[in-house]
Amino acid sequence: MLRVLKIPIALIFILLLVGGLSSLGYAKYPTRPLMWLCPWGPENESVAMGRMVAEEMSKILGEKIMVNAMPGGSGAKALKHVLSQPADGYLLLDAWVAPLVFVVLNRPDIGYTYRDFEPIGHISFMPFTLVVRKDSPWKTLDEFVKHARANPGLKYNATGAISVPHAVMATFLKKAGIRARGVPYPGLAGGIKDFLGGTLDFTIGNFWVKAVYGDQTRTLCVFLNERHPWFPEIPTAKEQGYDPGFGDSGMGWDTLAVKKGTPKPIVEKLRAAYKQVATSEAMKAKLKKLNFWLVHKNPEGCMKLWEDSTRNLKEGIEILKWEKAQFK
Amino acid sequence: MFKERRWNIISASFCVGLACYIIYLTLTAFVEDRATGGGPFANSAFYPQLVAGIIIFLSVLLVISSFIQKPGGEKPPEAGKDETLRDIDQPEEGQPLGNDRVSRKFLIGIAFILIAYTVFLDMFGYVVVTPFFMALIFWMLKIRKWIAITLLSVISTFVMYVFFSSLLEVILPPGRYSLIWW
Amino acid sequence: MHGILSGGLETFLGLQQILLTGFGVFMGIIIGVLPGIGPLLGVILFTSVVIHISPVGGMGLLIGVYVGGSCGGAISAILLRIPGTPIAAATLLDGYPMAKKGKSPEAVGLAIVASSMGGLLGGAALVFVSPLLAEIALKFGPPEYFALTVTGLIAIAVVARESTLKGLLSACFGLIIASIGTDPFTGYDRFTFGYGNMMGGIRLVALLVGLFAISEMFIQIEQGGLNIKPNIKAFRPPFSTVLTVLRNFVNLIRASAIGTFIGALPGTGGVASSFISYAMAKASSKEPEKFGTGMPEGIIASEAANNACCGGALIPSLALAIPGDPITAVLLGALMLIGLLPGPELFRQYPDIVGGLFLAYLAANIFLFVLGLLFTPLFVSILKIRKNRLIPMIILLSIVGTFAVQASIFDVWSMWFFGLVGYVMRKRGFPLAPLVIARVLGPIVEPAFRRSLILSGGSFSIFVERPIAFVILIFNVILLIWTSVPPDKMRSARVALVRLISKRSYS
Repeated sequence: MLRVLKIPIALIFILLLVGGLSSLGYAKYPTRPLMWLCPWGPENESVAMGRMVAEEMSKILGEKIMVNAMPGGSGAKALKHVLSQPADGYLLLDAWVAPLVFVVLNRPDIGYTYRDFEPIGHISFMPFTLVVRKDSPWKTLDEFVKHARANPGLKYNATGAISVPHAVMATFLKKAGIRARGVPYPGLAGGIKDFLGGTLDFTIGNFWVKAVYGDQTRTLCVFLNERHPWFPEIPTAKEQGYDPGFGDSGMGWDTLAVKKGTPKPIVEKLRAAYKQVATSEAMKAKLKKLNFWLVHKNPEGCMKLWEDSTRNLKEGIEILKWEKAQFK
Repeated sequence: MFKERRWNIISASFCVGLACYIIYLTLTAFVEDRATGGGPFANSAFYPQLVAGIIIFLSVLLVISSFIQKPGGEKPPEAGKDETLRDIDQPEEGQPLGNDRVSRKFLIGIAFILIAYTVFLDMFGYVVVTPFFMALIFWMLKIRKWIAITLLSVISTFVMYVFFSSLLEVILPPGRYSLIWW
Repeated sequence: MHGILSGGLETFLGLQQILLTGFGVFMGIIIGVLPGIGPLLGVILFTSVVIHISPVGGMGLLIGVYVGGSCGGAISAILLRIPGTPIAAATLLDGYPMAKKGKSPEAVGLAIVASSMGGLLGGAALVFVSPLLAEIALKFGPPEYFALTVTGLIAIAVVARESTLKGLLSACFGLIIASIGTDPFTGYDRFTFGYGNMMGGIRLVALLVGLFAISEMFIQIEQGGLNIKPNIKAFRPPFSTVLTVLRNFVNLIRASAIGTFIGALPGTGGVASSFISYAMAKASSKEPEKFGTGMPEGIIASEAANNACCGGALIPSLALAIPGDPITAVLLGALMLIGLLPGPELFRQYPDIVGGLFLAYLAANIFLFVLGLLFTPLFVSILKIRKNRLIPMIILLSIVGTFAVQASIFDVWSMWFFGLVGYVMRKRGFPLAPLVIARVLGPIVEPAFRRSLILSGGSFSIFVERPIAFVILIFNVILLIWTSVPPDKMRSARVALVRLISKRSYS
């Protein structure tokens, strides 16, 4: 046995030596490929979006940026992974509202907050809509609200029990005096079959649903302060008098971020590169094709959005609990 | 036959133990993690409990059935010659290709090397560690020509690197303490 | 259906997709030839690659490996009397005697040609039947889906006939493994032990590679024969084999029909189809006593059936998301990895991708024909690779591939863990296939179950009130009772059935 182990032990020693020697000192940034971590599964459009933005950024930075999808725990797994890695600026995080703010509000013991991250720049907003089937009797939001008030227990796709769209919808419903039953599905796409098939009565939607299923559905309203420039014909819930009251926080949004403690020069370099990409019209048009509404914000604006959302969405958690209690 | 019954009982009790542990977790850790909510949502604990219940039921059946079977009866493996999933269900035990069947100690040794490799991979990165590891495994598997070992290990490391890193754009482990990247 | 195929042309007709499919077939044949790693292991090893390329290209690669692997086993069966994969076991019966008579080029040629033609016929069934099935299934809601998925689980568990109980146990553990991670319904963690890496659950690739590849490698090492090199001469099959196969037209069609049908039944697969097809060919032959002495008909029947079986197995997998065998379960898992939820909605949401998969399957069989005949000398010399060169490379591919899926060392650790689990399970006679299928179906069955209860407000009556769901559930109960009949009785019943069918086709 001893003889058999002689060579393995020798090899392990050589290995330690080489490894140790190679870890002397830091070099210029970036010297090796970067990773763009997306907290959703590879099916999510945000991965495709990440690829587009990353490609442009890598042209500026001079190193490849590879996009990696790491789903799990409503995105929390990816955030935890970032915090477990060194703060060397080689790991970029596509920080979505759900893991960055909403999960933390719901589970304060999750082990991180938005303060553990450093914003690079804001990426996109995704407004939510209320969608019914084309053959349904409801033509306007008012008709829908009247019917739903009189008939409590309508079913809708809640896209995850604890999620931002669900919170927005539940708040809207509660303020409009409606008691409906949110049925969780894996995202918007996961519930569309049962919605179109008639198991569900209405669903949370977004511009993706409008673009793909526009001919089979009717979008009754969008949860925004003002009508969206892409679809000026869709009324907002606010103008009809049913404002959930979340403002900017009540959308799906994402910010590019790195782990806090990343050296200042590296952060600045990333910010400059990202700004150059995000403010170009070509990129905006590209992302519009994927139904992402690119809105650039400076780092202070990002921080403000993070803080505001943390404050505003707290109410959403309470309302989700309330909704759950309605159908015991 | 008797040996098989003994193993059935051992595996059944292991399954029951695991199922009990699952139920225990749903009653303790789940409550702490608030994974059990009210109303129909309580099923987040109910579902694993249901499956665990089925496991216990099946394990009991397994024990009972191994007692019912006639001792010294027909050997089942032969009967399963044309079974669909045979390829992955049971490896062919018989006809050793050579007379060099290895000992359990040897297998544990290989497993140990693989685990060490994983640790070093995380510490020093793919490019640094892999050739050594491959050389070691080739050596363990009784290739004794040093030229062959060196060539095989360097080439396999390189091919895998090109395939994943260049073609598929995957970042292979860079290593926490290593700056040799390429 | 027309829309599906024309949409498929757009997604499939690209250099990348076509090359990848061809590459898949090529690798598949190699993998099939090498004893010990069959198409299942091949598909698993390449799954980690898929998520880094385009959906149709990636799935084309896997389908290519599946198709090529289902044929490659025939080569080693004919030349060495060791079926590279168990599904080639029936090919051995006539293939090896033929090779012994010095006609190994003909035998290998027949196997390749029959495989590709059988596969094409199975593919035709896939193209025609699965959209219809998907159309029906579009109306299914969560309760129906729950019932249907349970059917898939029971079917796969009971096929491991000699140990139905162990199969069901294994499936239950698969369900538990599938429930690890953050519960989508409540947003809280289950079975993660407070460990952040486990919030996403156990990665499918890590589980598969561990259970199958790692445990297989250890068993291969344990069996020894590491340094043995068989002595074979390379050869090229004559083109006349194509004519031989075409002359056996009836045999080919019958074998393909049997293969497709048996493949489409959940829980059965290549081995059963090739043996039944062989038996039928023997029964309906004018000279049945010559079977087993090197009859070309025997090779054609077995090989056409086991490749047509691939097409058949894909029908319920794509249309209903109920895999027919472990390989299609892995294919489904790969589809889920790249974010496409298989099932009827796939046909409506991404008809172009479904069409691309169909075309990839058909193209794979054409590639099998071309590459198989062109590169036979190479595939034959692959047999000379020694195990101790091969095993370390497969282990390295397993590690790097598992890591590559999410760039996560944790996945590698879980792969080692499941390697151990797989090794122990094999040694103790627990079938691995039900566990994998349950892990793939778990994310469908649990939400369907709980969603049904949410829809009904917690009442189980929803499973009885919906007629389709109720009928399927009753069927499940019958299936369970049917399979609890002791195996020996079951076996004689099956033998009687085969005899009955063969007699009818004989007269």
